[in-house]
Amino acid sequence: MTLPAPPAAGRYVDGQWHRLHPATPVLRGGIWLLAVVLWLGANLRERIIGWVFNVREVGSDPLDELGRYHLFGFAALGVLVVVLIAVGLFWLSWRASTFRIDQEAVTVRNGLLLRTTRTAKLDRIQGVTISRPLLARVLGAARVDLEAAGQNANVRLEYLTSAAAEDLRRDVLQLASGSRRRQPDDEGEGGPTTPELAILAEDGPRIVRVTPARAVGAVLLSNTTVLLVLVVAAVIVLNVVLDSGAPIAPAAPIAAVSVFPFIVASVTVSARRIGRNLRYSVVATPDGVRIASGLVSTRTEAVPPGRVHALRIEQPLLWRAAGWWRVSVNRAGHEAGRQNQQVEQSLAPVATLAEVLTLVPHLVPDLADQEALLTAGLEGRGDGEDFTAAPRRARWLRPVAWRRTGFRVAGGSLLSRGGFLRRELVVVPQARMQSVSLGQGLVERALDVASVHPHVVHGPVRTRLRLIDRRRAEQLFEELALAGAAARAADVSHRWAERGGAR
Amino acid sequence: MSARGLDAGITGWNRVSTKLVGVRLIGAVIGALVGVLVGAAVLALTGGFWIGWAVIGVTAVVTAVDLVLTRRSVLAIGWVLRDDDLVVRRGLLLSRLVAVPYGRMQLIDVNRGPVARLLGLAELRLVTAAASSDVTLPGLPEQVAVELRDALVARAEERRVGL
Repeated sequence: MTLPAPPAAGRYVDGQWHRLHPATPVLRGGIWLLAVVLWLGANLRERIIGWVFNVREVGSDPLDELGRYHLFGFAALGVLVVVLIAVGLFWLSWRASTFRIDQEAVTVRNGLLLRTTRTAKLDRIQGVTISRPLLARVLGAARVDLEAAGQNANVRLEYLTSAAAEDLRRDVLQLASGSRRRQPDDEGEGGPTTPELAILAEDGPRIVRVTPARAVGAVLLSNTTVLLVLVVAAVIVLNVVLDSGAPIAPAAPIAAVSVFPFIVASVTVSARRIGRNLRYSVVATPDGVRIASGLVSTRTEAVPPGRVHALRIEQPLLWRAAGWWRVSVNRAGHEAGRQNQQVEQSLAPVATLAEVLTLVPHLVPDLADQEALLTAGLEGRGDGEDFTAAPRRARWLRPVAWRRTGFRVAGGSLLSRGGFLRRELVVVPQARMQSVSLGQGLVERALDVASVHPHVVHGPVRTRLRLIDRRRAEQLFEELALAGAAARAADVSHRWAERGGAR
Repeated sequence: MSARGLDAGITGWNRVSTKLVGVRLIGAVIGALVGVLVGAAVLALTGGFWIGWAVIGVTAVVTAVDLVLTRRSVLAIGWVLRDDDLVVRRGLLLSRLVAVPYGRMQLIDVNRGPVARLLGLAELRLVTAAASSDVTLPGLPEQVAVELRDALVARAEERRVGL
């Protein structure tokens, strides 16, 4: 590289084409090709040798036979040719995959016969995920997904060396954030040896850390577990009742057998959830929060503030005694293929109230120093902290939850509180709203209430506000339509670091 | 206008063409014909099986409700261009008001169904990054639809913002 490095550039941000990790073809699927070839060779070696060398009776050990006919040389040559072809193909496919990053965009070229080129504008990138499947980790490689808004719009760089992936993530996030200055890199080449160490040691405080006890407890105190316990109890009761009196009781074992798959499934699901919760941590960095999770395949995911389109903090009933909360967000780029993976979508699967209060301002900067407001939203009811509560007449629509239902507009965000048994607080930054609607059904009309729905990008968080007094709802609709326009005009948080005080 | 639905105090609604009533009625009649034919076929093939009568009965009720409400629901549709957004109002039983800021519009479609095209009508459809804001505005005269689309595109260009 004789080019002068641009001021903001890291190792890869130079507008040049770069190659991927040399082991890429193997990791991408070449390993399976090799395995198949080896398996065929092992199983059919007599046939192959007999066919290639035109030898009829291949005895018990084909190598002995080769020796007998003095064909070792030819055999070795044949193997060599096959290996060379395989390596050659791998090499070609490695040569064909290149990527380039400049100040504006990331471009990836792929494919040997069918060449594809994909370009993503840096200021549209929503997050960077580094994942390390087991095999890749053994070879010191990592996959980088640059997530852009839209269906299937990820740009995937597979594979890079682990250290390069970390550099790349930092550089891309800094470019995407509008920051044109390079942070002093104090690691150098002699930095932490494993990426895990680097993640844990680097950049700023860890604001959420899931302890093993909490990781397990959160899953044990879930609906799945309760259902499991109930089902097992029912089966036991059934067994006891039917065993005691009745002469013939075939129903009991049948019941036991029929719920067995359910038990296996719920145990598996729970184990997987625990696995995801373990080693879960959220780090607050200047570029946004970074999430690291997983034991086997570690994902490191960055969520810049200002990319959060909606945020939900919820507490299932069973977690209330423990004081745990789950934080989920809607963000663009996460629409495709992730809808069924709730755990992936929860930004913090289980956090304490203190951690939530620290985390939220990193996701919605407008809510900094609003702990009283947030706490009221999470735990309060009625009109406290200037929340507008649902009118009493609306209780017919929500007999229990109406007392908690309420909203407030504060600091450029709309807060919506709800749920009595399962408490939740939804936050929608007004600058992220796409549009807003006001609706009223027949029952709502009879009660003179209406609902207001700020529309945001697809995700786990539902943002409709119900049970609002009709006049107040019309007012809110108007407020949101106007404030949305104003907030968007003033908003620079999709290039948040340009505001100066990067958080 | 008036107290029939929500209007959030917004005035100056543009109505859609009343020819849309015709489009809807033709649709309802076609639906009714299909329902009656299916019912009759069931009756003929099974020799008076009660499901045939049920199909015809349900079709009759649905069509009757449709015919009664069509005109009023078409009159309930309204749209207005404001400084920063387009507001669309729809719905009679379930009324809904949507405000779409110009800067948020990602796509603007003009669709013409076969019957609507005969009557010179078109439908405008707006898409933003949020699936839930999907807005359709049916029953615009073709000329109006095209002009409205061009106006929206121009304003969207002026005020484009990030996600």
